[in-house]
Amino acid sequence: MNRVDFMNQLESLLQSISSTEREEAIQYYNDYFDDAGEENEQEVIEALGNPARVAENIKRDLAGNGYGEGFAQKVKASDRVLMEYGKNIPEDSEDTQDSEEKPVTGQTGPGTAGNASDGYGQGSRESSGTYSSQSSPFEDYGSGSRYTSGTGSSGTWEQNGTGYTPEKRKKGEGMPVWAIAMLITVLVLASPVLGAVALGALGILVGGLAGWFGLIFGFGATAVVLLVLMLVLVIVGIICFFVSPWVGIALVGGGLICGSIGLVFLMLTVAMAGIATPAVCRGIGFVFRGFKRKRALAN
Amino acid sequence: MVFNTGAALLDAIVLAVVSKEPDGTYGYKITQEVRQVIELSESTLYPVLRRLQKDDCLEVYDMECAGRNRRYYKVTSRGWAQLKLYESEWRRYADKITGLFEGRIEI
Repeated sequence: MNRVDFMNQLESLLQSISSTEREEAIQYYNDYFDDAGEENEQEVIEALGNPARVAENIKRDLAGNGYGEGFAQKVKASDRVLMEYGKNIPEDSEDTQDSEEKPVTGQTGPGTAGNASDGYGQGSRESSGTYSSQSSPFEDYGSGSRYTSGTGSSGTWEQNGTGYTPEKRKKGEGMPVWAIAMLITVLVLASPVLGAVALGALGILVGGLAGWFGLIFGFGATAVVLLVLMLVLVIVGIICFFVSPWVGIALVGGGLICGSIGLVFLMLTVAMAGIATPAVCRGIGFVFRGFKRKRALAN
Repeated sequence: MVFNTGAALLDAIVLAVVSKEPDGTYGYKITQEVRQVIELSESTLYPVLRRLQKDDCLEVYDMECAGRNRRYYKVTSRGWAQLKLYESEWRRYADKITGLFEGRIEI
């Protein structure tokens, strides 16, 4: 990553703070890069860690939560997308292998340090310049530290105390028990209605099937009848031809017409039975298989 | 570095560093000088400076330098008072811890 990327990412990560603050921060870091000089650009980037960490520090400080690296868990998911995820954000407070930048301010080995600086941050902020009401800021820092006692004089350590355990972010798996119970209750109560609806659906299904096959049968019957009629008419026509030619021709003609219509129906029958029905069945099968696959995947 | 540097301690350190320059100094230089004393992530400096400025312990002014504006930080009178407080508090605190380690303090 180069400076421009870094600053761009930082700027977008800071969209959530006021524009004045954002401009000041961006200005500061631009000046910083300038002062470091181009030759040190990569060093600066490495030392700063990644834009997400810088942004987190700024945001946290603005929110009055104190600074230090222990807070990294609060990084939003959206920010994480922009992060070049490195060891630099000690998510689970077991990151002891930071590189040269040795994040001292909030981080000792087991990462509990985050608390101390958090709590401490609170203590000092409220008492800046007025130590009389509280014990030494350095002592506050000590007492509030890694045991998440939250009993420091500032009284606002609770959030910090719990901040360093990432458990809060674990989501429950599956549906909560109460939801399942409710669902079952609803199902039981609605079962008569559901039963009726199911029967109705079944009826529709049966009716549809009957209609479909009835149609095929009807077409087929019509075709057969018409073809038979054609045969009869043609034969009679030929016979009549010898008696009375015009009548004979008319009969044959009528028979042929019947025959052609019969052929049409025959084609329809064949189409429906032979092509449409298997196609529909395949379609339904496909849909079911799709459901099964989805269910399998979800499991 | 084994021990935490909490926020107030950071404030104290930064104030002390800036106070070494009577006419003020700028962000990059402050960071480098602080890092000569303690290992510190550079990404934590800006919030410290910002807070000190908002708390009126540091004042800022811009100075033209090599064709660009450079922002300088300087300790205010309130900043000096705060620094003195920090120094005495630190001495107290450090004495206690040292006393504990050296067995001077009765538990």
